[in-house]
Formats: sequence, structure tokens, C-alpha cells
Amino acid sequence: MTSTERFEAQLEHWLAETAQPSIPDDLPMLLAETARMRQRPAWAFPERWIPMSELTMRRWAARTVPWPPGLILVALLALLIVGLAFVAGTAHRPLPAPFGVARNGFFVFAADGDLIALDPATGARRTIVGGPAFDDRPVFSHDGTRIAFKRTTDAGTSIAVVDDDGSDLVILKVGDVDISDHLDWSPDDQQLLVSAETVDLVPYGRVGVPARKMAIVPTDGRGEAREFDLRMSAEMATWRPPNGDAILFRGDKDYGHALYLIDPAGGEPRPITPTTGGPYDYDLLIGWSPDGRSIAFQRETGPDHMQLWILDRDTGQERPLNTHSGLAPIWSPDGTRIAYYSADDVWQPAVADVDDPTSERRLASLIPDGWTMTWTPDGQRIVLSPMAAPHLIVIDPAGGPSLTTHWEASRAPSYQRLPFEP
Amino acid sequence: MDQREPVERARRGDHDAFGSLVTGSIAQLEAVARLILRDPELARDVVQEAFIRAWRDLPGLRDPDRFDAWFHRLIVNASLDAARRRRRRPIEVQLTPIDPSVSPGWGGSVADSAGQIADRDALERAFAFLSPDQRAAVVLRHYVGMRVPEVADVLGIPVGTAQSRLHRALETMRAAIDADERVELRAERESYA
Repeated sequence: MTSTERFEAQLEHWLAETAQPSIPDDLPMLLAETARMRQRPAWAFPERWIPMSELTMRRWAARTVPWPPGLILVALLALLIVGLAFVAGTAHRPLPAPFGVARNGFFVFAADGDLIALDPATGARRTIVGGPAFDDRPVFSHDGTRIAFKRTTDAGTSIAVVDDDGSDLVILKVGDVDISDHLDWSPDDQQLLVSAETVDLVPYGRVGVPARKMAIVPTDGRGEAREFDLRMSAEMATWRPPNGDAILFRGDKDYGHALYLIDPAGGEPRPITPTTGGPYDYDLLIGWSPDGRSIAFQRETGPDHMQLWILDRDTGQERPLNTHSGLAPIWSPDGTRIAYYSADDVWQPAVADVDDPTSERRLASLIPDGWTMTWTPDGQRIVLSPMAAPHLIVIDPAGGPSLTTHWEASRAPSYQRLPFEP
Repeated sequence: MDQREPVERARRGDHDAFGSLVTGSIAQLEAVARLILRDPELARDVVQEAFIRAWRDLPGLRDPDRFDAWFHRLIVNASLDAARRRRRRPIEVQLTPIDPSVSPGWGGSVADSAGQIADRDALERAFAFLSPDQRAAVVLRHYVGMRVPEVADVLGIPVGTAQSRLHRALETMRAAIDADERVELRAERESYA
């Protein structure tokens, strides 16, 4: 036996003795608590369809080819010229209003750990953020000039921001909030609202469940994240249009869920809906109308009947969007329509006019395992990213034919908003 | 035991099937968390969190045959996250009583029980030198008994990285034990002087 083998044998023996495995005393309690919890449905797991670990491994396995020195010089000169042209071009760059209808720019999505920009008008595709880091979940700012995204490296996960051409990378100081999975730009694009799953636990009956924190971080990278003291799990936090004077989120505590508002400066969260026990109440997507007066959400109204509701923020009145079963509402840019999944029997993308409960139009043919829908900034199309297939599907909300593109994206794209031509 | 059927049932919401699955593995997983964290209280929290997450997220498991690796990954990731966020908390180290009848000794290098305690302490101290990432790799390889590719799979790192992480971990431990022995030898010499 070599000294290494002897050492490993000693180590294994010590570990076995030290471990002393025993069934935890609280196992019966844990079993009782989980028996009361509903599981997340299979469709709620993008990773189920897209093996992110495999993408990550491919990314790490990718080799980088060193550039010849001469080529580097040429590339630097080209970058300088492009940069100067960009500075000249953006000095008076007109910007769109932060909410409402805008002109379509390009869209950005993550693929194989890089951020890809694609011009849907021409099909031109380019990598705007590459490199060894695994980048994911890009979100355009309201003015269309910057992109926030989640970056994972050997050192951990962070939030990064780049300009729309991939330049000026800024890593944001998010401290403990390092598993960011939901990013929302403030109306002035100066701050990001981050809600993230953490290892901290919040009360859930007699046990704790993973908490989702909420924090605000400046997007210029010069300030630390400010975390909210909520004493509950917070999800899908989003700023109220048009000026961000409130933050809406789904709060989760002790088997109860509700929508809450909180002042961006802090203070106590205020519930604005009844607290309910259905695990998917207020889940998947919640959203402000572009004018900030109404909120759309889903809530169970009977066994297996999830319905869409609209809450008038000023009066506190709730009304169902229609009588059908529906999930995951998303407002059109002009605030007159809501796209969602009609779920009476099978999932199917649908659109309804906000003020007409009889107006549901089911769109396209059945799309299995459909997932995130995104309105184009001009409100003329809906882009859908299915879970079961990598290609994006473009849907005409007016009922025209849908188009399965050759654009492969790991998740939903984020659209650049541009001002309309004068 | 073929786990595919109970995993399939648990994925479809059969809580009894889930109970039988986790009851069979929870003791070892709790030990894994305790070894990585060296903090029984924190390990208990981690196991509780991973347990709940396992139930809630089980429908997302694509391959039922990978349940064990998946559950280990939940525990290890939760442990590493907890280690990264651990505040300055007192660490309670659970000492194991020595039972000479079941302790076969340390590869013949030390014969008496006092020597066993010395070696145990040296290993304990050396293990404490490791980072949580290194401890996780060592625990999966040398306690759970996984092969290196399995360790890499659970940790979500390339096989080469797992191999080098294990190698460095053991080198660190051996260097720490060597240093320990030199200090003890010097103290012994000084006591004779």
C-alpha cells in the first residue's frame, strides 16, 4: 500500500466514523409539512427541457484560439473606429418613452452562455457578449440602450450590464443577492430591481422554505445593493409605471400568497389582494398596465380553474378578464390587450381585449409546452419561446398565421425599444 | 434497489413514494451536509431546505435514474451556499467517542488508542483547513464513495477540475498533518531539553 493509498484509507475511515449518519429527528415533521405542499408542475421547469448543465459544460469545454498579434492590432483599430462612430452616433440618440408602444429594435437572447443579438427584420445575428462566462436572462432597459443579464463564472453568480452593442461591461454590486433570476429596470433605468432565490429560509408552517429576497441596485456599478426587509419571500418584483413610485411583488409566507406594494425607499409592504393558499395564485406572471393603473394576475377560482383577474389600483376593485381558465397574463404595450395561455383543456396562446370579457381569441395551433410570451415593442406580434423546442415562434395577435423561426434561444428574448421616426 | 418506479410515482405527486425514497437516503445526506459545513445546526437547516426543495422540484427531474445524484446535488449546493453565507457563528464540532472494539486503527502506523486520538485530531484539523468546495469533493469521493466523474456531475464541474480539486485537497490535508507532526516533535524535544 502506498503512502497515498494509506492516507486515503485513513481518511475514509475517519470520515465514516465522524459522519455517524442518522435519520434526522425532524423527518416526520418534514414529511408532514411537505405532504401539505403542492409540487411545482413539470412545465414550470425550463431546465427540464433545456439541459442547462450540459450547456454549461459545453461552454467550459470550448477552447479559445489565440489571435495572432497583428490581427489583434487590426481588431483594436477597428474597435476604435467603431467606438468613435458609435459615440458620434449616440451623442444625440433619441430615446423612447419608458412605457407604451415603441418601434422594434433588435432582440437579444441567451444561447450557449452567450448573449446573441438578432435583427428580426433581416435575420442578421451576432454575438454581443461572449467569452468563458455563462451569461443568461438578458433584459433590455426601457430606453433600449443597455442590457442587464445574469453572469455565472467559477467565482459565482453576479448581475452585469452592458451597452446595446455589448461594450462597457459593468458588474453590479449585489452582495448576498447572487442568484438573480428576475430583473426589472426602474422607469428611469438608473436602478435594477432584483428578486432572487437565496439559501435563507422564511417560515412556512413549522418549517422554512427558500426565501426570495428583493433588492435595488444602481446600474452604474457605483453603489451597493439595498435589500428590503420583508420577512417573507418576494417574487416577480416590478416597478409601477410610469414613474416607479411603488414596487409590486408576490409575497409568500406561511402558506399564504398575496400581491403587495412597497415604497421603493423601504417601509412596510402593504397587501393589495386577499391572501390565499393556492400555490399558483399570483404565480408565473404579474404585471402593471403601461399606465400603472391596473394589475393583471392569475388566481385559482375553483378546482383546476385558474382565472385571470384585473385589479384597479385606485379603487381596489377586482374583475375577471373573462370566464375562461387562463395563466400568465402579459399586457400589450398600448395596454388595450392581454396575452396569456388559455388553459380550459390544453394550453394555447390567446389574446383578449382588456375591456371586453367576450373577446378571447385563441392564437395559432396548439403549441405543446408553450412558455414565455413577449410582445414586440410595436404591439404587432408576440414572440413565444416553447420549452420543448429551441426555436422561437412569432404569433400574430390579430389571428394571422404563426411562424416558427430558425432562431434558437434558451429562454425568452428581450426586445430593444426604439423611438418612432419623427 | 430500482428507484425508477418510486421516483416516477413521486414525480407525479405520490407523497408516500417520496417518503420512502428520502427515508432511505436522508441519513447519509445529512451526514454529507454536516461534514461539509462542520456545523450540525446549519447542516440541519440545509437538509430541511433541500428536503422541501426536493419535493417541490421533483417534477422537474428529467431522468428518474439520476434521483440520487440530483438529491446529492441539492444537498451539496445548499451546503456550499450556506457555507458562503455563513455569518460568524460558533461552530459546534461533534466529537465521536472512541470504541476500540470497532476502531481497526489507522493503517498500522499508530497502534495504541492515544495514537488513534492523535491521528483523529490531526485529520480533524487538516480537514478544517479545506475550503467548503474541497470538503464537498472529498466527502463525495471518500465518504459517499462516488467515482470522480460522479463527483464532477454532482458539483457541476468538469471531471478534470474535480480531479485536481481532490488532489489539492488531499495535498493540503497531508501538508497540514506534516506541519502538525513537526510542531509536536519540536515540543517533545523541548520537553526533554
